[in-house]
Amino acid sequence: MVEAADEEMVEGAAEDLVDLDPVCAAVHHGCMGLPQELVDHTMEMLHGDLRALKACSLTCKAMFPSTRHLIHQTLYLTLRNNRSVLPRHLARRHRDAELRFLTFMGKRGFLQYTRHVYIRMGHIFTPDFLMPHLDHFRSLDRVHSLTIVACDALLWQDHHDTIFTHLYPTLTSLALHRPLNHYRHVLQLALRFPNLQNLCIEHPADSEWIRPGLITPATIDVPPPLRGHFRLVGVGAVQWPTEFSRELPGGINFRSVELQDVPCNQGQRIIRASAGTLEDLTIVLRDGAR
Amino acid sequence: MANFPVTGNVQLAYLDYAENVVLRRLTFRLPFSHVPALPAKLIATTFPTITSLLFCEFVLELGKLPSQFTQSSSKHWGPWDKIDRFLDDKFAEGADFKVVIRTGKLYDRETFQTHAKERLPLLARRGWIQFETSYSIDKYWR
Repeated sequence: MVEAADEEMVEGAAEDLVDLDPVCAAVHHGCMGLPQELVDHTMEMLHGDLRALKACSLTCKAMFPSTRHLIHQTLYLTLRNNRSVLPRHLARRHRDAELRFLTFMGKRGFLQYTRHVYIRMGHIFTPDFLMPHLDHFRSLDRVHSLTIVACDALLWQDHHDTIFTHLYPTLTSLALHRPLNHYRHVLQLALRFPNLQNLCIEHPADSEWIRPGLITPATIDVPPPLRGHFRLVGVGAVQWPTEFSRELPGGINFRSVELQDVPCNQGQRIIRASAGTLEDLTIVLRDGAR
Repeated sequence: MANFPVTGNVQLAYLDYAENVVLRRLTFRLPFSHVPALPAKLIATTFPTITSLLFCEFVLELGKLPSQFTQSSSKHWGPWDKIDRFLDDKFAEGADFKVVIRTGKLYDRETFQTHAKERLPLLARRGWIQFETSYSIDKYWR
């Protein structure tokens, strides 16, 4: 699904090279006589169907402004999209080029529509890659959810306050896929978003997960509310620490929990820790289960 | 939780919900081929431990369904008649309890629903079974 979305975004980026602002500003007279509110509502129903939204955006002037924020609500900072906007003369290994798509979209004014950010670079995501594009990243001030694939939590520790603070007021959902380093660093990274409600941790890297040595528990001044959805996937192959639930400074208040490939004792601790609030539990039994 | 294995995937079916006093909905997302094995686990541990007075919804999200259901309902579903009796007894007092069976695209919807009602006759008679379609399930199991 993500691949398909990436492709859509690449196509979208190519088409958006034409400056369509004048069209947006033009006086429109509705679509087939329908009131604009009805057109807006219809477009909202297509939420998530990028292909249909793009088709509609080109249909008439009334539909164009209704679809624009929906088409650009998710910013995919992927290897594919970054390369799609990369000039040939720029070496691929050049650091500035790695998140080129961010600047590309920022210069065209599309970042004002971004509500979700998905970052998957094809290798470990570190602060160095973001620095050349920091101004545009900081302009993302309405983002609700952030997904990062393969992020080394330890490397982000010293940059959290400089890079992510603009997301603090609005970010409520964080998904970390294949996070690297000790689980306490991962929690440290996640729990510093003060308004975080939903947390997803998928397939933590097992080689670093149980690194020996003393690593202090996460110290957070004001713990995030964490009252939404918690999704934990793929810690069955690694040793998720049994004291995990105790490390969350505000305790666990999730209303909804989804567990997959989680050792039974860990799953039991999580649902027990959220005993007073858990209303909705999903257990995923994948292939291979008997 | 004393006597279950501590590692593995399917052991998640053996969790104990005795302390979850506000649990309203329990969902099992699994491939259809695992359905026959589920009743034993549900009756052994899952349902007896549910103490929440608010519990009113058990959801089966089934993926990887066959295009045709050529065998009998008992072959496809296994001993779900035990679940039927168990849930009928346990939630007979509750007026709003329901079992939701959610699938993706089905080529033989009629047979699928007939089989489900055959294996859960008491619940079906009470009108507690609800069939739903969600195309995101197909994407999930792709």
